[in-house]
Amino acid sequence: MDQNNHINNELDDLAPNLSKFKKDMPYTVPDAYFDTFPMKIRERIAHMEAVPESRWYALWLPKYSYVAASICFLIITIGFLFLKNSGSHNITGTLVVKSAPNADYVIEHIDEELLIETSPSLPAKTPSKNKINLNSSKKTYAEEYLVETIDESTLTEEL
Amino acid sequence: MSDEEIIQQFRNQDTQSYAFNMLVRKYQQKLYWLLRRMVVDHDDADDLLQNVWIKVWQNLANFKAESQLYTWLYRISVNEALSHLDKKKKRFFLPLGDVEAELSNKIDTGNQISGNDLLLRLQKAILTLPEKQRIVFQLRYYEEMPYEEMSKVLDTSVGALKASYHHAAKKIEVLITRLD
Repeated sequence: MDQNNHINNELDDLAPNLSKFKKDMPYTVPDAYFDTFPMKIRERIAHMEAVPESRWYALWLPKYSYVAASICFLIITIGFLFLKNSGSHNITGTLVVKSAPNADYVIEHIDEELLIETSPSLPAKTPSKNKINLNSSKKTYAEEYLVETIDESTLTEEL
Repeated sequence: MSDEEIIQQFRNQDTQSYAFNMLVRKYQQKLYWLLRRMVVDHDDADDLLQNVWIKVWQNLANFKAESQLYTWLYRISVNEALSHLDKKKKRFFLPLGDVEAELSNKIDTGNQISGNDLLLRLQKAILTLPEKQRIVFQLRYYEEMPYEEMSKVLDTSVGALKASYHHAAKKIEVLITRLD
């Protein structure tokens, strides 16, 4: 009681107009709210205890599942691309390996002369056609460049 | 039944539910109004009150009687309300003033609100106070809580609480006088 008087006197000194206000609240609650609330809490606790206690990953999962899913997707995508690229090398490698025993077989079992006889159209040494073309195109380009940029008279003098 | 008896009975497995029920019935209204004044909306206050009692259920067995039980209950409730308001600010990236404006708007438009104009204006004036000052004012003005108890609830010195209450009361006085 003394405490209440003390608080009221304190308010009288501090805020005389406020101290005249009734300490009523403008808020209301639904009918029988406080009668039913304890039951609501009991039910919630009973439900909480019926459900097995959440494990750490169950708590962690919803929060970070999007991040984890994104990381998995990235790893799978990168892995797929990596395998795709290296896979083409493997195919070539496999072909080489597979063809190697055949080549050995040919070398071991078929006579060289027979081979030459059965493939007369093959030249003894096959030069790379691409290389020639490349060189020739380079040469052509160099010639064109010289013709265009260097005066004919200068060329004659130099020669 | 005293708080000590309730705690004793709560620690006994056979009487735990009964003791908890007693405790809820004893303090539910006080805690509800504390929360309601802070968050204005009935549904929010109801959610927070449920959360408070869940925490009490989970931790009461470990309660050390270093402070009074009701101080502990108030402390849980204040923290729950503050974290609710904090989440609201973070969720909508709102500055503090906007949350208070939203709460003030709820006084005009919300459900379960009825009262004369003066009472509504007083509530709106209280909402203009900074968060901590508002809690101090409410605990002192409505709950008539001694500063020493309030110090334990808010973990703040008695001197700071007195200064905070004085500032708050003077601000409210100015606001309600201006409105008249």
